Amino acid sequence: MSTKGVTPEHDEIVSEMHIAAPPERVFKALTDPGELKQWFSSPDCPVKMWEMDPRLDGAYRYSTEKGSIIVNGVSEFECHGHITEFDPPRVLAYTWYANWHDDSTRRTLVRVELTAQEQGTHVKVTHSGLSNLPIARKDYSGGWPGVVEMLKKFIEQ
Amino acid sequence: MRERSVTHSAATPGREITFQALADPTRRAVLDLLRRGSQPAGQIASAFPVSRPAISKHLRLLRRAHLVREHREGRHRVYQLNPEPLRAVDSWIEQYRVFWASSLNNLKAFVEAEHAREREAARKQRKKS
Repeated sequence: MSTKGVTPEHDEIVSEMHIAAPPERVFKALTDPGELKQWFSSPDCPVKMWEMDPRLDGAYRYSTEKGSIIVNGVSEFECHGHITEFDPPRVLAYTWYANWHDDSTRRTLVRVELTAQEQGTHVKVTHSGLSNLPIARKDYSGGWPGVVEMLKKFIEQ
Repeated sequence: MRERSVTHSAATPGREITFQALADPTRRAVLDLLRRGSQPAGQIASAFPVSRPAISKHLRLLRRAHLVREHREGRHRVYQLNPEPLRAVDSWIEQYRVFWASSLNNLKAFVEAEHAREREAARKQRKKS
């Protein structure tokens, strides 16, 4: 497993994992609401509701009970979006609007890629749009490269 | 939520203004330059092939984002780097690093257990028939 920082090109994070089961099995866990409810939860903030309409343009929504963690003043988390890519068992992508973001109306994107491996599946999650700055992105196209190296430099200095 | 973040940005600049300031290559280069130490505006301007007013504008934006501090030394305006807002941006993104790492751990544990159970059930089924 590895979770890299923000990639140099985009305002995104990449997280990867090997799972000892075929992509079909992993894809089911990613799209079946009954299964999502079982694993997409944590003791810090137990899931209350998980709904997903597993098809292109299908909606999903999940919410949690009041958890023991607080992000941006929020402790009952709610997140929703639509499926933007549905290619079983290889790709699942959805928009991600969360009530703990600075602006819960801004679009972020989660993309899960599954690659079959001899011993199972390689899972790669990319969460992009985290800086929530569509205006700057449009106005300063090509302006993003380097932001992350900067961050890294400053933080490590 | 939105209201709250507005109140917040009134007191301290939000992440948004930080990202906006960082979105421009020249401004990033200015910050890079200031990592070597404080510099007067004139010296900063001479390091870039853009007009003096353009650099002033960049410095103003950086100041508004609290990424640089300005003070006067005689007749010079001297600029100093302030990396604090960058930490806020990083800690925000860090939250998702932790979130996805732990979600993938959960997914792995769940799928591997289910898969093993299903295979075992299938094996028993085959034995029976």
